[in-house]
This record gives sequence, structure tokens and C-alpha cells, in this order.
Amino acid sequence: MLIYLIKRLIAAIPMLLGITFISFLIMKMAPGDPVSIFLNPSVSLADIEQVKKNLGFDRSIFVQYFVWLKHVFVGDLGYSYVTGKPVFMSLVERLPATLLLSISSLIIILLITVPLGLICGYKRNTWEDDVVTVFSFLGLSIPSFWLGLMLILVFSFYLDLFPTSGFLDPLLYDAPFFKKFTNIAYHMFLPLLTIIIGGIAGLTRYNRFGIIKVLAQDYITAARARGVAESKILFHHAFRNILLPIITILGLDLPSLISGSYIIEYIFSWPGMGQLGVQAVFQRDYPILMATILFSSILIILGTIMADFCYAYVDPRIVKKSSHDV
Amino acid sequence: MLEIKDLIIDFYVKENVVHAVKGIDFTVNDSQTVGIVGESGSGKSVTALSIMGLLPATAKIQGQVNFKNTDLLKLNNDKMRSYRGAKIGYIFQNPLSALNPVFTIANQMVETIILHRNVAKIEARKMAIDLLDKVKIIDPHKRIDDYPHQFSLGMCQRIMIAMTLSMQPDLLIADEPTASLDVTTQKEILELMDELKELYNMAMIFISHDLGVVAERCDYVHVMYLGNIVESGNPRDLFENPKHDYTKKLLNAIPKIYFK
Amino acid sequence: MTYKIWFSIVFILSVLLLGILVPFFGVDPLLMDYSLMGTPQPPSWQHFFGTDELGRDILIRCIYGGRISLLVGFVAVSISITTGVLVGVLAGYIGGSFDEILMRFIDMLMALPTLFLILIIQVMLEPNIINVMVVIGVTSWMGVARIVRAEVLSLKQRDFIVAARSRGITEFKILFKHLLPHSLNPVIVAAMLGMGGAILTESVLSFLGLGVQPPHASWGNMLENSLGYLRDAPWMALIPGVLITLIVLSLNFLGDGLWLLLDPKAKDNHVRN
Repeated sequence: MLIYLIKRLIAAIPMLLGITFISFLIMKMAPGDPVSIFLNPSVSLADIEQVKKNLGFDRSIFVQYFVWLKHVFVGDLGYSYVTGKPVFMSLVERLPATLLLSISSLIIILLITVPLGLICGYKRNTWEDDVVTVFSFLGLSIPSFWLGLMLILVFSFYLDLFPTSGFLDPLLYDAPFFKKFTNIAYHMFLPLLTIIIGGIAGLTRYNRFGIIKVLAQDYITAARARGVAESKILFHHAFRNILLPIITILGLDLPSLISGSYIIEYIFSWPGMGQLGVQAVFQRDYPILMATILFSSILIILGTIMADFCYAYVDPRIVKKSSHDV
Repeated sequence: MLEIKDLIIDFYVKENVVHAVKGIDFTVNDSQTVGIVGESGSGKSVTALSIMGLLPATAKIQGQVNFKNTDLLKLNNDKMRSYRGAKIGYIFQNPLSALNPVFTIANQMVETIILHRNVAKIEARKMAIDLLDKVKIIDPHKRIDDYPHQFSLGMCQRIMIAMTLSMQPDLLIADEPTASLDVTTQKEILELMDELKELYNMAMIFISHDLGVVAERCDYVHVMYLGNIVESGNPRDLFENPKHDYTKKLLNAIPKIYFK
Repeated sequence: MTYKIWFSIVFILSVLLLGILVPFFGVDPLLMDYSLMGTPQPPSWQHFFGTDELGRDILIRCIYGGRISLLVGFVAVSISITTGVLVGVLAGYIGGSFDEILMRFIDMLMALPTLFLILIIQVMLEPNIINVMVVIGVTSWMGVARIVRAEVLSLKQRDFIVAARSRGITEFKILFKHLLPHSLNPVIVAAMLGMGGAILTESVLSFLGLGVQPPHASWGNMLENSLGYLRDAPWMALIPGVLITLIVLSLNFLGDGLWLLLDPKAKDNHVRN
């Protein structure tokens, strides 16, 4: 098992290199020369050339990439064009809020969607199944940013139940932990709701197909033939098997889940990486943009590896195969 | 023990109706082995699954399945469950797919034993190991913690047999138990089943497309063709004097070695 | 299932027909009513969907926006399907290390946060409708490529391909006459679902001001407009959002329906023997 994990980690390295190289290329294509931006107009052209040389801009793109990579390794991602602050620190500051939102939404989505998919697949082609199917299609089709706006309209403007934006009341910065926690949860309610509505829709539908497939297997009929109770068949025998496709789809869905939640962060002014990134889009703040891509790609790759790991944990048959091959 | 009367099974798929079984009758007496022979699609497996009440919801079943004077078709799912395994055991064609791939053998056997015999977990595990030993699994106390994919197909079928025996059923339905195995393993499994059938003194329904295998161990044989029983009798009579064209064809398909 | 399909067909056709015919109605999506400027009007008999902050009729703008949505969806999907089918067929057909490298490359692209990448590319390029279509197209072909590759891989082994080869039919003909048509079913389904996805992406881009530019109407940039009036004129946000949802819903229903129709494996009911 440990060997498998190490293998997967090693296999992720070329992928990470590739992704960072693509990010780097896009950064190179960006208009606006990072050198000229920092220099004042009185400096001569020759001096600019010298600075460019010092920074390695006259060398080949691959050399420049590896120099950049070296900087990335020591946490040097440059400085924001807008605030002048180090990019690495700005992103690390934003990481907790993003992780809080994405991990809690993921957990809630799983807690709702797995039993729902199980029941739908079990009761397939009944009216209950039909209702859930229509709703899950609806959830898949709603633009999440618009759903966020509508939730703000209803819950903040009309009902005045939850705040439209923010993370923690400034007054509570020094408050005890529990008070802070409830205040953050209060602010998180609407963005969380927006994300989970979209997430539930897709996964429920997927789980339904998964459970239908599992329930048609011989080992389910065999368990019934041994007199095992239906509830036990559903939540024990079928459950563990249905986890496999769920893990696979979660791993594959991770990129869209993460970039989808960035727009939500932006709508609700949730102080995470996404909000920073989307703002940077408007301000043409390229160092921040590149770092956001880099950070998200690392998060996504880590997520994929974790998915692979869970897969191998649940399925005793898979120790070599990756979940991508399924 | 088992009496099937005018059993009709239709499948409703979308607007189409498939008549899988078209009204058959047969009986199984105590400790008797009854064979059902036919090609795939003749309705023999559907008949067997209907006895267990395991057909999908698209199936419509008419007639009577009387097991020890109870009509199983009239029972609700909960009542039916007390018959499954405990009174009627079922052995599947493909043993590997009949074992849940994500649980160990111990897990699945202990669950079954606890469900049907009022014993503690440790006791159940001991019984499971004994049973594995009985079906000639080597090193049962070690292998019991392995997963199904770590066994060969023949081994898996032995495990399925052990699991079915752990419930001590009165009637055993074997649905082409050796069809997915190679010839040598087939022979071993069949010998094992004969041995255990003697030991436990069960009645058995033996389903196969192989008339030779059926003839060797059945007291009575029914030949099924397109949802009907076209011919019945004891195997010797059937072989010596086949009446139906289909039986003759089946006989011609068997290697002559069985007629010795 | 059928009522969902009928709903989808009717809705898509009406958006399409209205979009095609609207230039002949003699209405102008940019016509402003100066008396209503600054105070959006709620839906009334005069303006079924109300008016926006510049006094423009929202119904007319929605019809024009529908045109844009369908156009963006169609062109973007055409690009992604063409790319995906080409890459998938080549990878599956040639196989070997070529296939391996291509697949790892696709894995890599799929690990990128696509929507965010599109935002960045849109910032660098000039945000206009052509760029929107192209960018969405070139960032969404990977799924199609994977599906087609898998189909080709399984078809390649089948007897009728081997038989065709043994009859001396050229490889080129095998590829485009025998392999490609047989792998198209899942592609049609992916196209339907992809079109819904492309319309959603367009709406996000336009909402952020990086897609279709004003004064041209798109459902996404109408939502951007509505932001300042969310409290006072909620219909400005409600109507375009509902329309986006309905068109994407219709495409999803159609895709799902086609899948059930085309893919024998998708059928839930199967008889055991």
C-alpha cells in the first residue's frame, strides 16, 4: 500500500512539471513586460537590457522555466503588480478560507448525495426516482453564479437571514474560538449552499447509475439468496462497491469543482484564493494569476492522488491500476 | 418437498412481453436429485430464480411453488427471506462474480453464519474455517482472510459451496455450477458436491446444459426447451429411448463416452 | 422520459426560431426609452419581461441573447468535437507510445482549472464573441477525445475491422469509413451535453465582462447589468438566469434521452436467463 502511494506520488511529478510549464508559457505570452513595469522612465534602455540579462530573460524558454521553477521551490513567486506584496504570501493567506469552503462542501455533498443516489438507484423508475432525477438535472443546468445571486436575493434581501458577503465580523477578530467559529459558519452558509446544490445534482445522478449497475451484479443476487436483509444489502454489500465509481468521478470532477467555487467566492466576497484570482483577472495582475493556477493545479493533483489512494483502499483488487484507467 | 404447478413466467420489457417459462410442472422429493437440462434461454435458470423469489420486478409469475406445503409465491419479501439460504440454498454459475469483490471470505461467511445460526462471531469464524476445510481449501485458517480475486475459479466455487452448506438448507439448487470451470476442475467440484450431498442428505435441483453430467447424478431428469418441459423421465430411459427431437439432438451432442 | 424530451425540443426550437425571425419583427434591442432611464420597469402588458436600467425591452434583448447563446454553444462544440474526434481517433488507431503521450497530455490539461484558464486567456485576448467561442472550444475537447479513443480501441479488435483489413481495404478507408462512424454515438451525446456546458461558460464570461460585450445582448451580460439593481429590479436578474437554466436543462435532457436511445448498455432493464 505504501509502495503504491509512493509510486503514485512519483507518477504525479511529470504531470506537475507539465502543468507548471504550461502556466509558465501562458505567463510568457502575457502582454506587459515585468521588467519595464518596475523601472522608472528615466532609466536608460541599456540598463533595462542589463536588468533583463540579470533576470535571465535573454536565455532560452526552457532555461528560464527552470530558473523560475527554482524560485517556485523556495516559495518565490514574484510580487503582485497591484499591491506589491509577495505573491506567495498573499496566496498562502487565502488558502485556509478556500480549503474550509471546498472541504466542507465536499463532505456535505457526499453525505447527501450517496444515500440519495442509493435510494434512487434502488427505487429506479418510480415516481420518487423521477422527482429526484428532474431536480438533479435542474441543479446541473443552473448557472451557479446566478443561483448565488438568487440566494442572496431571497435569504439576504427578502428574509434578511444571512449576510451577503464576508468571512468574519471585524469586531470578532479577538473573540473566543467558538464565537468566531459560529460567525464564520454564519457567513459561509450561502456560498456553501450554492456550491452544494450544484454538486449534489451531478453526483446523485452518477450514483444512481452506479448503484443500478452494482445491484445487477451476481454477488447481490447471491447475498439475497443467502437471506441477507435488503437494508444490509443496500448499505453494506452494495455501498462499498458503489464507493468506487464515486471516488473516480470525484477525482475527475475536482478541477471543475475548484474553478466553479472560485466564481462563488467572488460573488460572496469570500476571502479565498478564488476571489483573489478573479479580482486579479480584472486588474491584469499576472503574477497573482499564474500563482493561482499553480496552486489550484497542485490542489487538484493532490486531490487526484488522494482519490487514487482511497480507491486502492476500498478495492482490494486494485493495487497497480490507477482510477483513471477504469 | 417441492412441488411446482403450472408455473408461468413472463417478462415485461418496455412494451414487449417475453414468455420465459410457459407453464411447467415438476416435483422434488426428499433427498432426491432432479436434473433440468436445456440450452441457454430455455428458461431453466429463470425457473430456479423464481423458486428463490429473486427475479427482477419486470417478471410476472403465475402458478404455484409449494415448498413443504407453503406456496412460496404467496409470501412477502420478508417471509421469503427466511426461506432463502436457510431452507433453500443456491449455487451460482460464475462463483467469482457471486462473491462480493470488496469483502474478505471471512467477512462474507461469518455474516452468513451469524445470520442463520445463533452463534457469536468467534464461533462463526471457527465454523467457517471448518467448512472451508471440508470443501478442501488448503490452509483455511490463513486463506479465510483473503479476497475472492485471490482464489482460482474452482476455489471460489468451493467457497460458495461451503457458504451454502453453512446454512444447512434442505434443498440445494445448483445453477450450472461447473459451466464456467475447466474440465478437470469441473470433475473435482462435481465429486465434492456428490460427497457433500450424501453427507448432508439434501434434496437437489441440478441445472445444466450438459446431459452427461446430469445423467450421472440425477434420479429424475426434465428436458426444457423454449420455456416448456418437453420430456421427463429417469436418465436411463431418457437415454435409451428419447422421444422428443430436441432430446435426441442433446444426446447427439454428448461425447459417446457417457454411454458405456 | 418523453415529456422531458418534448419540453426540450419545443423550448430549443422556440429560442432558435425567435432568434432567427427577430430581425424581421422590426424591433430594436438597443432602443432606449429615455423616460424610463434609471428606473427599470417591472413586467407589464407593454413589456412582458419589463425593462432594464436604460429603458430597453428585456424580452427583445432576451431573444437576441438566446441567439448568441445557441451560436456560442454550437460553434464552441463544433470546435471541441472536431478536435476531440481527431485526437481520439488518432490516439486509439495509432496506439503505442503516441497514444500514451497524448493521453498523459490530456490528463495534464484536465488537471488545470479550466474555467479559470479561460478567464485568463480572455483577459489576454480581446474579449469578443469570436474569442469566446474559440477559447471555449479549444479548452473542452479532452473529454470527447477520451471517449472516442476508448471506442476506437474496442472497435479496433472487432472482427469486422480485421475482416475489412483482410479484404485489402486501405488503412485510410478503415479509419474514416469503418472506425469513425461506429464511434459517433457517444460523440453525439457528448455534443449535446457539451453545448449546455459551453452556454454555461459563456454566461460566466459575459457575467464577468469578459465575454459578449455591450451593447450586444447576451444572457450573461444582462445578468452583469442586473447586479446593481438586484434589490430594486429583481426581474432583471431572474429572467435571463431562468432562460439559461432552461436552455441548458433542455440540452441535458436531450443528451440523456439520446444516450438511452443510442447506447444499448444504458438500458436499465435487462432480462436474466
